[in-house]
Amino acid sequence: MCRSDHAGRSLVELLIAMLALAIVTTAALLTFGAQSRLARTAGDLAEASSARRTSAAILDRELRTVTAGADPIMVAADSAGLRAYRGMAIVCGRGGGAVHVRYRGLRAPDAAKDSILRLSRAGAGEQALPLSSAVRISTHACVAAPGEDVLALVPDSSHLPGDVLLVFERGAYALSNRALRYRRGASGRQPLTAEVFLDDSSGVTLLAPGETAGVSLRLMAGDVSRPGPGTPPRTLRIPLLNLRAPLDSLEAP
Amino acid sequence: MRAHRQGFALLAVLIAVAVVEAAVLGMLLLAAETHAAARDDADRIRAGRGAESAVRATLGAWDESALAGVGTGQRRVPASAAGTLPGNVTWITEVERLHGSLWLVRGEAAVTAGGRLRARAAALATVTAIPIDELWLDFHAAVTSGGSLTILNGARIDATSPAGPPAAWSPADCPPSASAPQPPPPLAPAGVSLDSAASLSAAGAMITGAPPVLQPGPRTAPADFARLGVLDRNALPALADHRAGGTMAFAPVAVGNTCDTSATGNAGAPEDPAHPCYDFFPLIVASGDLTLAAGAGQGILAVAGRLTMAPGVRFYGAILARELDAPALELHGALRIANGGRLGGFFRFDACALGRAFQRAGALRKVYRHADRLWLPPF
Repeated sequence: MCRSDHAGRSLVELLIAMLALAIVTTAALLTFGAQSRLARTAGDLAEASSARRTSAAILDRELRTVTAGADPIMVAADSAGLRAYRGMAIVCGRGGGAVHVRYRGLRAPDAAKDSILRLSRAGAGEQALPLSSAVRISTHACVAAPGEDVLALVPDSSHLPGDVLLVFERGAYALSNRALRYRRGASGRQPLTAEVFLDDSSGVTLLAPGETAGVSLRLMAGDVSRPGPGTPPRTLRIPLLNLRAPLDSLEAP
Repeated sequence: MRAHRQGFALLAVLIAVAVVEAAVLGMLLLAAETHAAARDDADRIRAGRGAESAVRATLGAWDESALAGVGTGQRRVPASAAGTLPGNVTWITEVERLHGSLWLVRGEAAVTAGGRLRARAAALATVTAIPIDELWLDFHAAVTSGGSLTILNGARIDATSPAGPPAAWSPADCPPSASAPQPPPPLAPAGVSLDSAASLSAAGAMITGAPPVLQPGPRTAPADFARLGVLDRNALPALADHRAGGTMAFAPVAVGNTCDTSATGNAGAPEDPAHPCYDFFPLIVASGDLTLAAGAGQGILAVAGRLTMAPGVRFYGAILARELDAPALELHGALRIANGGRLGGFFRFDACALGRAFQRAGALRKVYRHADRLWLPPF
């Protein structure tokens, strides 16, 4: 084993080792890249799924009890304007120029943005009224159930004990600029979901135009910066509970 | 030098494996998170629909007489106000008398798994108790018709007999006490009441009343025949004890000493006070044509189509029909026909029979939607 026998071997071994290292590194990088793309796609799908679920939950809650003919609901291609109900009050007394109510809702009434709708009772239809103030009080005349507060609402108007008042704000839900957005009154549209929807493929339509038997929500998510069809479109149907006539109705005599 | 090269390759492989494992682990975590979110979503929907079912179940089992003691502003958990649904859904309901006959029904449903609450939802509805005393005010004549009516030769229509029970009934069935079921107000009923455009052919028939023939009579417009007081044509089928159609015969059915109110054709036993079905006054609704072949019945009969009654059929109570063909009917009560028809036999305006039919009809001790807004936003 003389020194001359080893001449050049180290170089060859080094080159082979570098080649092997390059192959392994390239494979690792390719694997890493593929996994990164896969993870990103999975993340996008999860985000789109979450946005769909959030949209469905919000709109189902807001639209399911809409009353055809009584609630002014305006459904356009990408939006639904409606009375967004935020609480319910039952009149239980009066005093000091205010009507006392037992109240339960998503939040406390806010005179700056809320109105009230008095539901119909014998001989009178529904009536929408402005709300001047809402103050929490304590009175023996009203016994609140768990989850309820006792409030004094102004104006008193002609409410009678047992009247049901719905507290609402005017709002509009829109599928625009890639997200479900909510606009209260004339304010700007605030996003409620991530910006994942394809505007051209998402929208809101009535299931039975003219009767407002329900609302169909079509959601399709995708990335506008990447070519491709996006996620499969999902359609959510929200049948309205307050239909004028049940399906098993008799024929008119 | 050799040891360094071997370790480097191993390190590279380990790094690659670690990257793959991390990516797979991330995917698994993502899938688990998505699965959990989807399950929560399903639970939320299940709870929401369960709460709505709770309200519907309570409305279906409503018994106004059992809630008579509930005052304005008071709440009560009605009988059969809790239950379970598939998918680990449990529900409860509570009713509150808002004022008078107006009620608020609140249903709550919860989805649990392994003893842990997964979702909860509520549903609300406002309903009004049926004003039974107002329902029979439309019956102001033995026969009311919105169309052409042919009364056959020999027929007898009597609206002048003093109020009192039919021959087969006990005098105690129509007591004068204020607390007992009362017959409708003495309206001095007419024999026949006709729409202004309706014609009457009654050669050889005997009609008595005050007046015998009233034209135009009150509430004889076509739209009035589509409803029974506050109950429109959509509400009646939902309340009915029996949904009828085709051909049927009246026959009381009892199991032991209990009236089988679910038996088809069981329209009470008006002519047998000892029968368990003597106090059963059903609401029978036919969405199409109906032929009654035989027997005696009582209660309220609402037929959206043509009602054909074979000779010998007897009825005690109120009949609503679009058209009638009854050549030999015996009726104690009153009859309203939208488009007229042909009738013969004996018709007696009977306030006692009407009063019993309406006040003892279990189907009418219910609630109905008094406005378009039945369901309220759930809070």
